[in-house]
Amino acid sequence: MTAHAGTEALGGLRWTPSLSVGDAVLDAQHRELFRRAAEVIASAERGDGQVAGAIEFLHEYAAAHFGVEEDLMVQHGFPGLVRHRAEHARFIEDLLELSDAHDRGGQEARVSVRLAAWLAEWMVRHVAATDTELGRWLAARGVSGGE
Amino acid sequence: MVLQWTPSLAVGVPMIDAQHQELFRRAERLILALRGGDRTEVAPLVVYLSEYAATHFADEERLMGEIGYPDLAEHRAAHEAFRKEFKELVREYERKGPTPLVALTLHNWLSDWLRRHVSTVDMRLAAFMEARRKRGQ
Repeated sequence: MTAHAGTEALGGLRWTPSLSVGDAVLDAQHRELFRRAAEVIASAERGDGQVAGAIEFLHEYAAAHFGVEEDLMVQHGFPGLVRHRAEHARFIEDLLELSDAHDRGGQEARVSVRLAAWLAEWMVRHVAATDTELGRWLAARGVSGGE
Repeated sequence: MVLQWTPSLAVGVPMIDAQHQELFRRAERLILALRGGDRTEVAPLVVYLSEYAATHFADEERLMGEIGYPDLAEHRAAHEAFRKEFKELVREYERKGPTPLVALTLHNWLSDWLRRHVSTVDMRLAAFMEARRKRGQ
């Protein structure tokens, strides 16, 4: 996992319609993720550790969201599928590693900071870039809506 | 997000608690194998877990029959739901392989299902048994 002072990267980043991927379900999931990420980061900065809840949310988010995106990419033959899916896989591996560190105990503050920085980087690098790339590609093909 | 039995999940029936602990152990081994990404390690652990789940469910159901537990049918239906859903998730694994997403999906489902079932459905059974014990039965 890259150590990264990424909270500055998140800055004022929040979901706006320009980040829409053209799918109502995915957009709703992204909006929720931005909201949660902001909470996690604020919590880490305050040092009031809501880490367990954040980790649990991220487990659910990743499983629900990545599956939907990957199925969509496969269904429409998205050329960037392999790279996009690899980013998802990396996120999950990082999450499980952070989760293990948290479960081992005694490192609440450090895990909290790592989690916040890592999540901030994810929002910038993946959601705002990789997912938007997918959204634009789908939109260019007139693909809209979803389950 | 540990896939581990904790004392908060104790139902107070030694045989059942012991079997639950074993169930969690086997579930965790399966998830670790999935995270390792080696199909040859995963396959036997799928069997390892489903066989033990079957044994445990059968033991619980037999016990419920013996004591005349009124909610036996509902409890058995919950066990059957586990079998079906687990089988479906395993089929998905066989299609997609031991990817991180498959590992995570199974981890989430097993963790959630086991904790929820033990702390609600099994807990109700334990409460019934405790009441019986108090009545000297």
